[in-house]
Amino acid sequence: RSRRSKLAVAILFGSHDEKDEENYNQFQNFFFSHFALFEAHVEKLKSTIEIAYFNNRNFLPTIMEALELFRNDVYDLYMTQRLAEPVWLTMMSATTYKTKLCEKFMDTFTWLVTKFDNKNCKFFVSTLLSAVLTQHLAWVATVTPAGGTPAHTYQDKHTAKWVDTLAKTHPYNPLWAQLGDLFGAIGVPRKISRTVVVGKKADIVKKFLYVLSYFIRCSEVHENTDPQCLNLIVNEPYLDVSLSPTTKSNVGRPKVIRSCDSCRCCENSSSQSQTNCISKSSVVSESSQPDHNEVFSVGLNGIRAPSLGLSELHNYIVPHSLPIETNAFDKSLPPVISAIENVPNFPTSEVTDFSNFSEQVVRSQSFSGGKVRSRLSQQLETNIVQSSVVVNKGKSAEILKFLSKSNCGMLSSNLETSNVVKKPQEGVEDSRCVETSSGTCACISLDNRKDAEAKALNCRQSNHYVRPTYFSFSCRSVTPTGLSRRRHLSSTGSIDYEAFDPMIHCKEVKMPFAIEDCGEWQIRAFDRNFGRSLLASYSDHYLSDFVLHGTSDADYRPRLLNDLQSTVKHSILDEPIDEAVCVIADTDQWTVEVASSKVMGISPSGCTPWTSSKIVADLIESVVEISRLKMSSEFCLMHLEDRLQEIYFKSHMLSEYLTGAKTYSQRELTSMLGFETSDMALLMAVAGTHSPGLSQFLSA
Amino acid sequence: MNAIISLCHFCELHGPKILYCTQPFRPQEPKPPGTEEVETDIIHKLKSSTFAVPSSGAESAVIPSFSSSAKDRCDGCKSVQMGFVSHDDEAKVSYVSTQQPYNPEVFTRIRQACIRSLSSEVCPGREGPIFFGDTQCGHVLSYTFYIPDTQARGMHRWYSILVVMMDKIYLLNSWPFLVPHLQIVIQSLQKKARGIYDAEEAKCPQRPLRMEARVNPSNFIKQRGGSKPARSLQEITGDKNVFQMLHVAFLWILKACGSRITEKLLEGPPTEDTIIDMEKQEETEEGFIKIFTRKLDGSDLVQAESEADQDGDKSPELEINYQEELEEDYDDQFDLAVTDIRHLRKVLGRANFQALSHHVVIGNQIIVSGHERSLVKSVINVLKTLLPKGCCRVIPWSLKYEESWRCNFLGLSPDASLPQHVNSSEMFVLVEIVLKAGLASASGGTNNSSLVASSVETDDNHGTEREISSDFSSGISGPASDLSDLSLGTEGQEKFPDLEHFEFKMSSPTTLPAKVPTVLAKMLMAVDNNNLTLEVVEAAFTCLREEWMNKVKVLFKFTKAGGNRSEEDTKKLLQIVGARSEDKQLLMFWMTGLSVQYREHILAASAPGNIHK
Repeated sequence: RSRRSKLAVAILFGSHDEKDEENYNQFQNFFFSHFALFEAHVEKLKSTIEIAYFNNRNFLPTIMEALELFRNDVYDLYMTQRLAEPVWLTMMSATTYKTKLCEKFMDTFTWLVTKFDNKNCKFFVSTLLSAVLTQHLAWVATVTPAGGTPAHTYQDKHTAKWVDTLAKTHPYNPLWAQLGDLFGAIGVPRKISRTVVVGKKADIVKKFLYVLSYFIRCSEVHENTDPQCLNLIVNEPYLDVSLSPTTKSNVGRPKVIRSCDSCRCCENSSSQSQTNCISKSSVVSESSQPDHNEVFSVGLNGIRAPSLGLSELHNYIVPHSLPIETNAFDKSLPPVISAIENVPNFPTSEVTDFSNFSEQVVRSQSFSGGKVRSRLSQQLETNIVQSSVVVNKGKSAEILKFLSKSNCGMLSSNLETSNVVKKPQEGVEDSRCVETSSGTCACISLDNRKDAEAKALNCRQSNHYVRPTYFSFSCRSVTPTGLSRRRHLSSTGSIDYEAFDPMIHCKEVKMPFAIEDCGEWQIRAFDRNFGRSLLASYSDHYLSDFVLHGTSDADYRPRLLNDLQSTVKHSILDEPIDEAVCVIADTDQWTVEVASSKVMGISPSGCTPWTSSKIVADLIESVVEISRLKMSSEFCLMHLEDRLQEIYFKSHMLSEYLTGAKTYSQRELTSMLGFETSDMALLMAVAGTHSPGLSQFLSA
Repeated sequence: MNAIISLCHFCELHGPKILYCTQPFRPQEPKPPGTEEVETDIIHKLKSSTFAVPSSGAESAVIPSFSSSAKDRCDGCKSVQMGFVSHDDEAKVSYVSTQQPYNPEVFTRIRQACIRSLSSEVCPGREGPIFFGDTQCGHVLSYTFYIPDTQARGMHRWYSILVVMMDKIYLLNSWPFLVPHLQIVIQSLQKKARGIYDAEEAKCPQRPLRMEARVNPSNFIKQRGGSKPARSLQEITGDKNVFQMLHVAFLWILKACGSRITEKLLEGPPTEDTIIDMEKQEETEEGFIKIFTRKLDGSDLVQAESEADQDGDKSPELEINYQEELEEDYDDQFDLAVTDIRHLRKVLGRANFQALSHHVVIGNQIIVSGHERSLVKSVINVLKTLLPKGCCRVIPWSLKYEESWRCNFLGLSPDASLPQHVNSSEMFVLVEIVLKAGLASASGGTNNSSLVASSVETDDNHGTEREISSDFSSGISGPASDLSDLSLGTEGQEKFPDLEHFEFKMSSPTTLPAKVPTVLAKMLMAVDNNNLTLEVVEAAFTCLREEWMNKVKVLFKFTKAGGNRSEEDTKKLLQIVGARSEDKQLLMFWMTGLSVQYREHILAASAPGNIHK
C-alpha cells in the first residue's frame, strides 16, 4: 500500500497593526470581497507546488519562484493604479457634471476615431470596439429596452426595477453579479473576457482605456449603512413585552390578528405603498354602489382599502372564537370580538373605526388560535376577493396605475386557469416577468376553483369598467439568462427545499424593524467595488487579474496564455466557464487580436486577428459625424445608445430566425436578414445573452 | 440570504450538539412558463402546515426519528420545544427557528458543520471566526466563543455560531459584515452570563469548593450541578427569552446581510412604442383619448426649420370623447379577419399591397370601408404594424368621414360618402371591401374609376416576386394575375375561403412618389421572403422601425432643437443617417410619431443655456 503524502500551504497576510487600523480594514475588506481572485492565485500556486513536488530535485527553488510570482500578483492586484474615472460608472452616478463628462468623452472618442480609424491604422478603433462589444457583453443589458415605467420623466437611462424585485425575493450577491458583468460572463456559452491595450505611447493607450471604460460596463453597487440596529435588538427589553404571550402589560396596546391579510395590507399600505393594499382586492368598479349591509368602504389615511364583507366575518368569528381555552387568547380576543360585533351596525361614516381595528392585529399564539385564524383568514380572503373597492371619482390616477400594475400578474394567471379570455397584454410576457407587487401571491394561492371563478368573474367586471386602464406597466421581462446571471449557481438550487419542514407550532414573532434607509451610499472605494478595482490604468508590466489595463510590456504573451488556461481551470466566478478570452489591442502595430483558451488547442499562438464589424463601423461613423455637426455631446451619446440598441434588436431578429430554422448557411443568412458576414460574431454573441438556446449554432 | 444560522454547543456530556437553528423559507423558484401548476406561496403553505400538525402529542409526532433520543440530551443541549417563526410579507420569506432543522439533508449539513466547528476547525485561542467547508456540505463561517458558567467544567462553556451557505463567495464577501454582527450577539450573551456568574460567584465561590471536594469519576458530575447534569442557556444567561432574542437577532442578520449590498443596473430607455403606449394609457384613464395632432401638411424641411425656434410648439391637443370599442367587439369576434401581413398581401395582391403600404408609411390617410367591421378592423391592425405606434391615429369604425388630421386610419361604413373637398384635395387611399358582384348587387362602388397607378413602377420588383412565389407558393394561382387582376378577392380562394366572397378595391387620387422609401423596401423584402417565419418578419419590422426612428430622432434634434441649420447641413445630415431623398417624406411623417416625453426631453435639453457651443 502506497503511502500518500499531504502537502499544506499556509499563506500569511501581514498581521494586524494597531497603528494602521484604517489600512488594515481596507485590506481586509479588499481581501474578502476579492476572495475569488485571491483564490485563483492560490490555486495557481498550488498546482506549481504539486509539479515541483514530483520533480523533487528543484523542489525548493521552484516553490520559491512560485511564491515570488504569487506575491507579485497579489501585490499588483492590490496596489496597481486604477482608472481614475471609469466613464460608464462615473456617468451612471454623476448628477451634476454630466454634461462635462459627456463632452470629455465625446472629445476623446472623436479624436481617437479621427486619428486612428482609417486605412493607415487598419481601422483600429472600429475593430477594437467590435471585439470589445463582442466579448464584454454587459452592455447588452444596459440597452435592452425597459418596460414601461410610470415615471413621467424621459430619462436617457433607466435603472432596472426588476433587479430590486429579484433581490427581495431571491437574495443574491450583487458583488458577484458585478464581477460577472465586468468579465462579460453574460451570454451562453459562458466566457470570461479581458482586454489589454498594448503600446509604448502612454497617453494614447490611456485615451483608449478611457474610452473603453465606457463600453465595458457593469452594474454599480451600493452599501446600506448599518446603524446599530442589532445592538438595539439584542439589548432591547421590548422583547419581553411584545413576545411573551403571558405578559399583561400590553393590554392597552393594540393586539394583532396576524391572520387577516387585509389587515396586514392595510398596515402596509399606510406605511409604504398602496400596491399591496389594492392588489389584494381584485375588483374596481367605478359605478357600483356600496351595499351598506355588507360592504363597507374603508378609508385609511386617505387611502382606499378593500372593503370587507363584514357580516360574514361577524358570523364566522364569533362561534369559533368563544370556546377557546388558551389563556393568552382569552385575554386578547374579547375586545376584538366586541369590535367585530359592533361593526355591522356602524353607519358608513364611522368606518374609520373599523380600519383602526384592522390595523390592530391580534397575534394568535396558540395552536387553537391558529386554527381560528387560518379559517378566518380564508374567509377574509374570500371576502376580499368578492367584495369590491369603491373608487370615487376624485381619486388620483396613481392608485389606478398601481392597481393595473399589480393586478396584471394575478389576473392573467387566474384568467388562464378559469378559461376566461385573457386580454392581450402588450409586449409583456407575464410568466417571465418578476412579479412587481408582493401582494399578488396571496390571491393566486387561493387556487380553490370556485374562488378563482368568482375572482375571474369579478376581474371581468373590473375589466369592463376599468378596461382602458388595463394595461401592463410591469417591469420588463427578465431574460432567462438575466435571472441566472445575477445569481450564483449554488444559491439557486440546493438550499431551496422540495418539501416543507414539518413544523411544530411555532410562536410567531414580529419582524424586527428593518434597516432604515437612512444611508445607502455608493461604494466608491475600490476595496469593495469591482467596477473600481478591476479597471486598471497604464502599467509598465502585464497584469493578470484586470478586466482592462494598458501596458508597455512587450513580452507578455506567455503569461497571458498561461492566465487564460488557469482561468478556465479555476474560474474566478466559482462556476464552470466555457472559454477565457482576452482582447489584445496593439497600438504600436494597430492590430486587434483575440486570444482564447479554446484556440490555444488549435494553434500555439492562441490568437485570432479580429476584423471590424460593419454595424459597429457604421455606428462609430454616425456618432462622430453628428458630433461634427455640432450636436450636443449628450445627444451624441444618446444616439450612440440608440445605435447599440439597434444591435440588440438585430440580434433578436437573428435569434428568432435561428430558432425557427433547422439549418442555415451563412450566406443565406446574411443575404436574407441583411447582415454582413462581419457582423455575425457580434450578433451571435449578443443573441447568446437573451436566447441561451442558440449556443448550438455558435459552434456550427 | 440563503443561509442558515445556527447556535452550537459543546456539551460536557454529549459532545457537539446543535442547539438552535434559524432558517429562511421562501417560495419555490418560479416554474418555467408552460407548467400548469400555479406557483404556490410558501408562506401560505407554511402557515397552513402549522395547523396541519395535530395538537395532541405534538412532541412525539414532531421530533423526527433521526434526532437523538431523550437519553442523549440534557438541559445543556436543549433549546426550545416550540420554535419561533416570523413572516416577512414584503419579501415573502418566513424565518423559522427551531432546535434543529427538520429536513434530513439540511440536518446532516448542519450537524457536520457543528462537529467540525467544535472540534477540529478551531481558531487560535479557541475564540474567534474561522471559515471552512466544501461544495458538498456547504461552506461555514464558524465563530466559537466561551460563556461563563459557574457550574461548568473550567467555569465556562464552549459555544459556536455557524453561518452555513452553499455560496462560498457570497459568504466570504459577507465576512466583514457577519463577523462584527455575530460579535454583538455573542457579547450580549456573554454579558448576560457574566452577570449571573458574578452573582453566583459572590454567593458561593466555586474554586475553593472544587478544590476541597473529593472527586471521583462517579460523583464528578453530580457534585456540581446537583441533580441536573448541565444547565440550559436560559439559566446561564438568566434570560428566559434568550432564544427569542436569538431568533430576532439571527433573522435580522440574515435579512440585513442579504440587503446590505444592492446594485443599480441601468437598462435602455423603453422603446418609443412603449412610451407611446404609456402616454395613451394616461389619457384613457380619464375615460377619453387625447389625440396628439401634429401638422401633417407642410411637412417639408424648410417649413420645419422655420418652426424650429418656436420653443415648445405644442400641437393643439384634441380630446375626443372616445367611444369604447367594447360594443363592437362583441358581435363579430369570430368573423372574417385578415390575420397577418402576408395574408393581407395575398388578399390584395402584391402590387396593391405595396402601394397601400407606401401610402401608409408616408402618412396618407387610409380609409377602409366595408360592411364587415371585423374585417375592416383587421386590415387596419395589420397595416398599423408598418408604422411606429406614435404615428398611428386610428378610428376603427365611423359612420361618417373623419378628417385626416384626426386619423390616418379610418374604418368607414360603406354608407358614408366622402365629402367633395376630401375627394379633391386630401391625400388618401380608399380601400373598399365589397361583396362580389355575383353575391351582392349593392356594391357601393363610387370610386372604382381610378385604379392604383403604382403597378407600373414595381416592374423590377415583380421579377423577384415571381421567382419567390413560384418557388414557395405554388399552390396559389399564378403570380402574374396579381397585377392584372383587379378584383383581387379571387386570388386567395383556396387558402382563405372566408374571404372569397369579397373584393378589395383600392383607389386613390394621390399619386405616389416614384420610389419606395428605403425602409419600406426592406420591410417588403422581409414580407416577400417566405423563408422567414412571421415571427422573424415581426422582429425585422421592429428592427427597421427602431432603426428609422433613431434617424428620425436625430433629424428632430437637428431641425427642431438645434438652432438654425443651413440647407447644406441638412443634406449632410440625411446623408449621415443614411437616408435618401425618397425617404424625406417618410421621415417627416414619422417625426410626428415621436413621443411627447422624447420631444420634451430633447427640447428641454437644448433650451438656451444648454446649447452646445
